[in-house]
Amino acid sequence: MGSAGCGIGFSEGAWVLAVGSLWFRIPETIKVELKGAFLPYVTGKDIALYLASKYGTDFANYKSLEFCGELAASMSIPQRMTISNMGVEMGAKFAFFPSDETTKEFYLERGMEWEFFAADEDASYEKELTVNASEIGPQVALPGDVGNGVDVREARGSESIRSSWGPVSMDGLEDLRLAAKLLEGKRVAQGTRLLVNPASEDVYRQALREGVIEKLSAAGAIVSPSGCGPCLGGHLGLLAPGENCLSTGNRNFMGRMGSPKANIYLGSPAVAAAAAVCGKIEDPREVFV
Amino acid sequence: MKTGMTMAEKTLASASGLERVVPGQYVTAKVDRLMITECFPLVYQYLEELGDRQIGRSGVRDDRV
Repeated sequence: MGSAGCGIGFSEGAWVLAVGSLWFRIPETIKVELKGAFLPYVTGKDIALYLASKYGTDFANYKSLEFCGELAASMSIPQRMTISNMGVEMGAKFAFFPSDETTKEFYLERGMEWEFFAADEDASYEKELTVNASEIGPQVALPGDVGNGVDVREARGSESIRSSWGPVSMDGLEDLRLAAKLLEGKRVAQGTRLLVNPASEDVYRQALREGVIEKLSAAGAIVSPSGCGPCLGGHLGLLAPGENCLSTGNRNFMGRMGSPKANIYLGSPAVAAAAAVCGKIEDPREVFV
Repeated sequence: MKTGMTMAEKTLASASGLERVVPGQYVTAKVDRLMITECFPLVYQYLEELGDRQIGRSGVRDDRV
């Protein structure tokens, strides 16, 4: 609560371990109002990809992003986490959501202390943007850059040999539940690998208890241990030359997940589920009717 | 003149023991949690280069993600 997180390098990591502090430049802040409502099969991931494509992957370079508005207030914590985690893909140093009743519930359920935290009403912003989710469909970032986002209909038909759920940009359990629901009674397409990577041990165990893992396995998914893996080409099936992948991870840079001759598309869990069933990128609104 | 702070400003002001900060200002903020995954050997290499130091306040936990 009232906390900020950001990535740092190895040398800075060592410095923090040794000293317990680190220097920061206070960033300017861009306020992003999220309004409207999610269309079917649209998630926080799609909002993040839309922002990166509309404004560019550097529009928030060393800025802080603050999300607010009626849609932000209605979003679950995992959806908020997905957008916050994707803030760095727009260059942001930090990405915040204000605390509210949803945050309070999330904290208290986990036995953690909660207190209200938000910007002051008279805070100054470098820029203010508005995003209307009611006008945004499922997004797909084409290979090479997170900012290559297009509506899924424009990417339809691309071969997707493998789909993966990465642990990086999402809470995991909500995504796994959605995937299990969409894939129930269906099978992963011949020639397509579906890797499911729970975000944490807690998420993995809860998914086991709820039968989510069983449903995913029955659909032909390969469930891996939690932790970093396919998203950064660490292990669990590197991409070979010519392979295409629909990843729910954060990044799709050339060579990110293996061969530099592989193509990485980014999308939401719903888009990944549709790709897994069809063996190519398809619109989840048409696949899961 | 607006004197309120954004969430980033509030967070970094609190972590650096300051009442108020403004964009562009440099601060030294305490870090409550450091997460290192598979890259710990590289971090440790830099830690060794820093000399004879103890691990800072928080210590090391081997929690998995």
